[in-house]
Amino acid sequence: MKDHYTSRIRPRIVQWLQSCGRAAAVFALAMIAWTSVAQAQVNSNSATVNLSATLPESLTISATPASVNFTLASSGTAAGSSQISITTAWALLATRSSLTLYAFASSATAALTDGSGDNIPAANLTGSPNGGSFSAFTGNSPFGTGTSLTIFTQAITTGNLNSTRTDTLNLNINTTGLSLPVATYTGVLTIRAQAL
Amino acid sequence: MARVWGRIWRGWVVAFLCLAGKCATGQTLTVAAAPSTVNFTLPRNGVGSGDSSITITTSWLASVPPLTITLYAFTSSTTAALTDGAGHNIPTSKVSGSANGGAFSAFTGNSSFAAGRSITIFTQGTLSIAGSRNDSLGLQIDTTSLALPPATYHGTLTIRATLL
Repeated sequence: MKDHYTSRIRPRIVQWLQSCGRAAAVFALAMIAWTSVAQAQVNSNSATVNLSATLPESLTISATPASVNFTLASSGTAAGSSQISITTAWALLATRSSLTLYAFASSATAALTDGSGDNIPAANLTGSPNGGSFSAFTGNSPFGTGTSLTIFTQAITTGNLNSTRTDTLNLNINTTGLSLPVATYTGVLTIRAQAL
Repeated sequence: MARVWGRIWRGWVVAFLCLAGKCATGQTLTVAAAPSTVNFTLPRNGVGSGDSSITITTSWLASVPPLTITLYAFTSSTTAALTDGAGHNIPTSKVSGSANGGAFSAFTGNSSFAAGRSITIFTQGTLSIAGSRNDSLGLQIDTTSLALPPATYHGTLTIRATLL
């Protein structure tokens, strides 16, 4: 009986166990290979898009309020109802060296008019930039000869090629010596900057 | 009998490894994008939009589903996504993208290809071993507080996908 087990059955059991071992090894190998394939990261080609952004040179002005009202004296100085706030924003080329902001009346002889021939000349309209002294709108600018007032002049350097600033302008009208009739006088003040 | 079994097992192992190798090398993933250039007119202090959105086609052929495909776009530099070449730069945090009309996000995310300068356009899980899809990417540049001088700024956006 023992000889039969040793010679016939035991080798078969050993062979069967060896087969199971091989099967387990192949299964494990298969799982490892499958997992490595499944988890391998695949990268695509690179598609490229060029970005080209142009920042143009710019110089802009905004001013508020849109209207300044005066209650004029029959002979004397009257202040505007509110000061004008002016914001200047710029992006300038490095070739620029200075920036100047001007305000100017539309006419030297008729900065304001009642439309009936009665006028307030630019010489009687004065402005005070940033709380400074009042000056008549009789100066020169690239935009108005004899009708302008300079609000600021600023140097442009590599440190302020793109910047902004806010200034104020108070207005007075002096009617002394004008002998104006009772009326409403209207005019336009233009504010403009120039970079050189 | 044992020799026969051994040959059979060895055959299976070799066949499977060959199959696995074929699977690994047979997967393809391609990305195409158009147009090749997007132009911007920048405000001195604000947001400028690209003159066209980018259309991106992603195509894949894989062997082992399920798959996860992720498409990224990324800039070339964190500090200088665009530059005028004279020391004035637009950082990647000021460049943003909108995938398929969604909200704009800055290119400050991470990806397999670029840390801190990427956005994810899509992540898609699929059981399909082959397919393609089209996506759009809108771009914006915000110059707020950069105080950039007038110039033309250049950069490169790279679009790339991964399959996992």
